[in-house]
Amino acid sequence: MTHDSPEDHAAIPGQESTHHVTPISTYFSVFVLLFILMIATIAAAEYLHLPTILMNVIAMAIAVAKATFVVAVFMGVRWTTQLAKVYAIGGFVWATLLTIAFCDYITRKDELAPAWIEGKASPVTDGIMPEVGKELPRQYFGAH
Amino acid sequence: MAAGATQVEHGHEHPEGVFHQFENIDQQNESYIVGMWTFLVTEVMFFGPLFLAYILYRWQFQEYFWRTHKLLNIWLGGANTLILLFSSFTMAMGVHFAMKKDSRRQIAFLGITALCGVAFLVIKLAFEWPSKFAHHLYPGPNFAWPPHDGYDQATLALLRDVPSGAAEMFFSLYFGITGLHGIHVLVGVLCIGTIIVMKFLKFPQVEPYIPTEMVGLYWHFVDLVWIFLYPLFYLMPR
Amino acid sequence: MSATVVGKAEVERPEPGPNYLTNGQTIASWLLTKDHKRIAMLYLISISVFFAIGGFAASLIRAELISPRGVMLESETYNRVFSLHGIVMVFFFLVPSIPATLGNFLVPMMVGARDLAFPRLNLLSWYIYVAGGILMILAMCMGGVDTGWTFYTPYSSLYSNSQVTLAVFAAFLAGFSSIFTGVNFIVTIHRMRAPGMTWFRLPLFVWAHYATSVIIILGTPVVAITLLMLFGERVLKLGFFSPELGGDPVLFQHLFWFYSHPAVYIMILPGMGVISELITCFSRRRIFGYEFVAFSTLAIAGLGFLVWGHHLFVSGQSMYQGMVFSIITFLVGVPSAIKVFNWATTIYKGSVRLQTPMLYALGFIGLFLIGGLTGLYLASMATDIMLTDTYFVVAHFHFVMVGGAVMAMMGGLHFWWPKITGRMYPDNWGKLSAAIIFIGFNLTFLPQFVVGYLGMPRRYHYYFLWPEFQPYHLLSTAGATVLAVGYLLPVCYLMWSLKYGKKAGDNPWGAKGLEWQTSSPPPTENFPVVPVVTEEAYNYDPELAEKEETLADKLEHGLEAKEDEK
Repeated sequence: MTHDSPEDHAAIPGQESTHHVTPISTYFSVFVLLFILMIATIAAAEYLHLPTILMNVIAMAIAVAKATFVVAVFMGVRWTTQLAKVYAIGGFVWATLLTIAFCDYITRKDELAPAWIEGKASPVTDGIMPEVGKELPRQYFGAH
Repeated sequence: MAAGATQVEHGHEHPEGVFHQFENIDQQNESYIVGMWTFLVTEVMFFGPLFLAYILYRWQFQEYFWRTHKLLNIWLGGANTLILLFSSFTMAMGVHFAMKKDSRRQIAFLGITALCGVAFLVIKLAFEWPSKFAHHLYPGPNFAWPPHDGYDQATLALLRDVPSGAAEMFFSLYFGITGLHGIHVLVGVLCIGTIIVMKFLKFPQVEPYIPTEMVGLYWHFVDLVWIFLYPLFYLMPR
Repeated sequence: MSATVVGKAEVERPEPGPNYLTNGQTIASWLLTKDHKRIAMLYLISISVFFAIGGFAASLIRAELISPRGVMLESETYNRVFSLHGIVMVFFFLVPSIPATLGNFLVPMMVGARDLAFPRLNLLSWYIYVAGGILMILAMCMGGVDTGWTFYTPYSSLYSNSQVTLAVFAAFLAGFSSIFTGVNFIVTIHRMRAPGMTWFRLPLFVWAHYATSVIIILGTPVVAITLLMLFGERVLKLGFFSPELGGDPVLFQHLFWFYSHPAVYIMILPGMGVISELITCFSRRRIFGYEFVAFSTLAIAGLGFLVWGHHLFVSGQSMYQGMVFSIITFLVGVPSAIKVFNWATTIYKGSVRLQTPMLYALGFIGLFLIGGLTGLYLASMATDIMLTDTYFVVAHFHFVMVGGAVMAMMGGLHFWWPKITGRMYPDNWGKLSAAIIFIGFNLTFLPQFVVGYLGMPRRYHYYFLWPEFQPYHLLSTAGATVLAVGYLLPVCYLMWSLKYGKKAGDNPWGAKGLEWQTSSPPPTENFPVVPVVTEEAYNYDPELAEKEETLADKLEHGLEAKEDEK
């Protein structure tokens, strides 16, 4: 095979293949840590009263921390091949969708673009903005 | 292999239990794990747009969403979070014992994980959601806003100013995302159940920890989604 | 049996064993197969059925548009017809076309594997595709949808009385079929390459399918959830896009096009992979700038995710956002142009043979060029505001989809037909069909550029306010008839060749590539012995090739190969 064998796996004697086996104590400590973080996030929400932005940042930071531990330890990414690490991080491509789509909403302006405001832009657009109830000039619908 | 009258022996040798397209067991194991990770990437992209919709509408209706979210039960949600975190731990233990080839402990921990999943679904479907339905908080033609009873006066006072559209949007997102997540939990429980049954019936498996590890990855992903869901819906700051 | 005289790449074998077609002759052996080659054939039959359905809808559209008053169909019916054409052609024909047929068949062979990584998942993906297809046909028989293939809200979610729910669910299933194929390809290409097959020795066909699979797994789930949200809004009354609740219908457009734009790259990248194979084989030259072509494939896949807003220029999207999308859309044309330059340079000073697949490849390059260049007008926001929702857009995407992807599919089908079936088709008929398709296609879609520029809106079935458009529509319909003949001819002679075509040997074209090292049709396990790769890809020599005469050359010049007729 042309792919690299994972070098950071500890071989367990008696197994046919090399595979890292995480000890129980690691799992348990991570679980306790997650529990503490959960209490922290509830406490922060109930009893901490900071500006909204800060509260959101704290909540998301705690969530990301919990997620990191789950992905790294429970899902074993810490000890897997490079490929799996790329997947684990690359799976958040949707964040680009999020960011760009969100940019649309925050940059929208609920007003006429300058070209359509009388006298603001080029003379081409002056005078053709229809008034309510008036018929549009015929020449804008084709040759007849 | 294709079932048919004439089967041809292929000229290559492969070890017992390795599927014929793979050269050796390592390649097979790695392929399954890489395959599962690829599927998890698709799941992230599957939940992503729902989170996008949530963020957009929360940004648009900040105050109204905050007031409406008070109708959610923070302690039931917290219990569900604890159950899922614990189930992630027991699932990791199940994978651990699968690798150690300790069938009894593997089945035990997988069983506990499945029970946790069932408990999660029970809390959601028997306690949280029915109370919403009873108060006509499910979006659609039966949506009744503002709620008249069943909650304390302070909350009701807050809710009176919230437009019905914003509240209905909040609940659309709530039921949509938690419903989809619940379906994933159910599928996870069924997969764990299948593995347990296969172990009981002693299905021959060369590397028995691979199916468990794959389901484990899926289960941890389901837990991950809830880790983000819980603070976003239940613990919304003002 | 056969003693064919072929190019240098033939491998001697002691006795002919059963191949993948003869290994198991019952229906069950086909419907329960795990062999990627058989699954590819199952897909080929299915997508041909949907091509016929979509083509039938197209013929209704073109027949309707020859009269300015639209006398044949009512407006409501016409809406359902063009929606059917779009949904079936996009979701059920174009997206699976090359990956599920040629990709399924060839990717394992090109990397030197015995099968894909997950054969049963492959079969499941076909069954899910068929299930989606049956639901779509059901939706069609129950009246179809009138929302257009884009299912824009709030019409599709709140107001349409047509079979939106069923059609949306059918497309949802087709999406999952696609996702499973993508997962299979990624794992196979990463993990199951033969010894010596490094990434940069892979055929560009495989690179193209890898990039396509990455797009599939990142993009398709987004449309899946979007369609599910639409389903939720119609059936479960969850209001995500409903303006009455303060929702934004344009959110649907953002989410829908986040997939549907990369989807067009899913449709074209495998075609580009096919063209790389055809151009190199029929010029007997290694591809010019292999790394450039490989990386520009990945660049198209990556950049393609950042341009979806160019479908939303007139939707109320922020103007500033539109500017960003416009710039990136211009950028995404650059890698495609790089590939076209590289193909053209590959042909230069090669030993060119103008057999049928090469005619399709050359047609692709020309038509894709026109389609791509007209896309630039649509990328620029200022001109797009005038051209959007006119026939200019229709012509643009048909040039790249039909003049591009379908031509590539036809070229690939003709190139690998001997490998898949073990038979050669009559090349004269092939060339004739290619010419008819080229002429018919141009006659159909070039007038549409003009009439779109003049203002003919798309999705309209009458234009009596502008009767001067009629000549263009007449030309277009005439062209569509020629095009239909062009597509029917290959069906005839390819079917004929199954029984009466000359037996092809391992390598009738004299091509390089692992798939040509094994027999035609290949045995079930592809290679009797796992191949070891020592050569670079496309290790052709044009000087030597000038004197070479392959089986295809012999048949082209009318010389009989020394073998039996049956």
